[in-house]
Amino acid sequence: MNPYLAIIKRDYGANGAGTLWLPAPIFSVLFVALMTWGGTLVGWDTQAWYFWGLTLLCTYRILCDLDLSHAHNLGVLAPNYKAYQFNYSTSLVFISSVMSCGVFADSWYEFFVCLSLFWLFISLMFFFVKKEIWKLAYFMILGAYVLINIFWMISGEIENMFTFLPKVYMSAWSILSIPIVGTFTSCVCLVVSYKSFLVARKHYLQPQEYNSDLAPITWKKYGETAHSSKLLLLLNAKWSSTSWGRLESRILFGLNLGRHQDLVYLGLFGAKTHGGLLKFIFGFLLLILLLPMLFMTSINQEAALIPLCIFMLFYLVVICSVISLEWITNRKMIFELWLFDTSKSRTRYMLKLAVLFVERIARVSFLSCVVFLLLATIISGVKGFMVVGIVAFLGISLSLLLQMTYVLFVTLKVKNTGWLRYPTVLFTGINFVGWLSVVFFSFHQKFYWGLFLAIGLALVLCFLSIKYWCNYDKELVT
Amino acid sequence: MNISTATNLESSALSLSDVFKSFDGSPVLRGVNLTLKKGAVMGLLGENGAGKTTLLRTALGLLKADQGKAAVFDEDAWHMSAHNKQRLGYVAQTLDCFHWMTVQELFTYTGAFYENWDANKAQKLANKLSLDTTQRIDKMSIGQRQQASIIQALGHSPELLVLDEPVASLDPGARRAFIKELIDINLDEQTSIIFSTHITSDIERAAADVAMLKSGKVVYQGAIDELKEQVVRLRLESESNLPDVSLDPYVLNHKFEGQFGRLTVKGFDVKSLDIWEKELKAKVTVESLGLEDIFLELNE
Repeated sequence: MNPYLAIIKRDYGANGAGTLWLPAPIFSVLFVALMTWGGTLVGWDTQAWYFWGLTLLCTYRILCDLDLSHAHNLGVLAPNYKAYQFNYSTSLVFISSVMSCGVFADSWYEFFVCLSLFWLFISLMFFFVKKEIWKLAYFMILGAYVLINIFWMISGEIENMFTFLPKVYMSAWSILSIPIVGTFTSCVCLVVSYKSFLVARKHYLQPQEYNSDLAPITWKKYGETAHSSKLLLLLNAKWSSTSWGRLESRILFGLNLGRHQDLVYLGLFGAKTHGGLLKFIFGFLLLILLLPMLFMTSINQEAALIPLCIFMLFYLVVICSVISLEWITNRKMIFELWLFDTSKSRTRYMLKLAVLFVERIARVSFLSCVVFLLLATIISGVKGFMVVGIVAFLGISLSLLLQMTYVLFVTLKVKNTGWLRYPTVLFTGINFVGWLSVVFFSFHQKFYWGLFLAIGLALVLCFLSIKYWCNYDKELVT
Repeated sequence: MNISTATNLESSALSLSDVFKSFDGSPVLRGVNLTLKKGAVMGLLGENGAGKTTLLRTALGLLKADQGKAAVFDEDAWHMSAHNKQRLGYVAQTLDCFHWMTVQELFTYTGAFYENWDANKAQKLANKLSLDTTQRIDKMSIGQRQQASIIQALGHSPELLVLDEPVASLDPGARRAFIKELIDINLDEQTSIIFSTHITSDIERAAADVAMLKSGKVVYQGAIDELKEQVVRLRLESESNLPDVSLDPYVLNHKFEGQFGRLTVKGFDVKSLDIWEKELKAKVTVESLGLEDIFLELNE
């Protein structure tokens, strides 16, 4: 078999049909066809931005894949393996970027300018492929890119609001529209990116030590390594956390309620508070979101709440998906932790586990809500407090109830943990958007009895799921 | 010089000279010297944590030596060429990735990177070890994964085979079959083999040479027969209580109880028997030791 075909088959097998990078060009083509057929639901520019964003995400994945050469023995010892992996990854970026820029550009000139700028960016990412820092830089650039697009989309409808960054972007683009400037810039970018790719290749092909920790989670038997390390942590009674770690967990998440001393808590979640990088990236993006306001003399308070609420929703969907998936993948530990727990009965033990999960997800959600509530109050005063405080808190509470019902149920019933990633993220998104919409419209239309009905339904479902969870007397599927 | 001539001129299949390696400041290898001759079979013995895996990984360039030189076919292991990688097969302690593949897919994937991969040979070996190649790796037992890993390393008929505790997870039947396979490979293809294990009987069965690793140093390297001749136990029987004599550095271990005693001696020579008898005023009987006893005595 051809080595490149072998790598494609490997990645397809590891990540399944949901893998991001492989079908990206195919998705792009299908999306264009669908949008063209379905009329002009979104403009061509928006589509192009969508493809470009997708390509950026693909690039991240592809860059991560380069690490795989050092994550397994075969990668280090098989002849020319690294060269194959590099060529393969670069080709995917090339195909993906050409397709994206092809859709974006209205002319050959635009295509040329876009492609050269894109390659420059990607080649610089390749150059830093052996440094961990690129991931952080990458996410920050990607986040800024997403926010620029949000501003751009809403700036047409909201006068005098958030036009700062789009204006900067449009100014840059208008300068590049001048043929001499654009051609010169593109040529420079192409030369620099070509050289950068060559240097990156040379750098990448240098020998590097084998390190199985670099293997992505999809390469390991799902959760195997995480569980074993957590079990070791648990068995090692003298576990310790740094002072900074404790301080950070107290300040940012608070309400630990002494759980960090609890062996079952430790066994399930480890000693770390999760998502340090996630928090940093979201903090940075929030700063980008709020930064334009500093440059404005007057703010449309009502309009300012919209991007903040969208951002909050996005953050909550991501963080709740992460916590839910963490719980689902950790279920293997549940039967092992039974040996360490001092609960009087199995029912109480299961209840304790459910409480741990609820506490973890609720703590993160509500404390982040408090941050947003403060921001909303600063931006929009009492109105902001009312909108975010009542609607968001109620919506989020209902979302969490249904989220818990879902997670407890699938933890008991669904065998394929790997497959669960996509439905869980999808469910979380629909759950949060759905409930917030229900609450918002109930207040807006004064449809209160419908709201009470929804609350009652969520409570009943949640109660039933907890009861089912606590009384589950079969062995868990792992 | 063409490749075949260069291949013939190689002095060893694998060598380490004065290799040091540490992790986070903790030394694991402390000046290791080891040579595997071409066509030889060597067993690597050592306690848990002695540094066997690190030694093998450093020897192959999976890890970089802090100091000293590791070479495969006389070429620096850290910068090993594709040509020499073609001639190398490695079996790790565990097959910890590619869990989504079937065994057949694993072989096809591996074969894509080796010019002389023989799919028929891999299938025959799988049949010999009763391994179902249609089974997914994550559905297999640890022993079956190990078998798959072994075949993965043998499919391209390597000239050097490095195995890190290959039989640890195999049942006795599979272990015997595997050892027999190793011997056949060595005899038929003159493959150089080095394998680490805790099971000394496997080394005695399969290997002619042995290297013993203790606290990051090779304390013995050579033929097993020579080692057995050199390290022996002396049983002492005297008419009076045995004297409390000062023992020379060749004595690894001794125990005197009244008129009886025993000594484990390294570097034993039959000619020195009379000296022992005169010095201790006792009748000395020589008792040969098995490899396991020698290993334990050397690690005492």
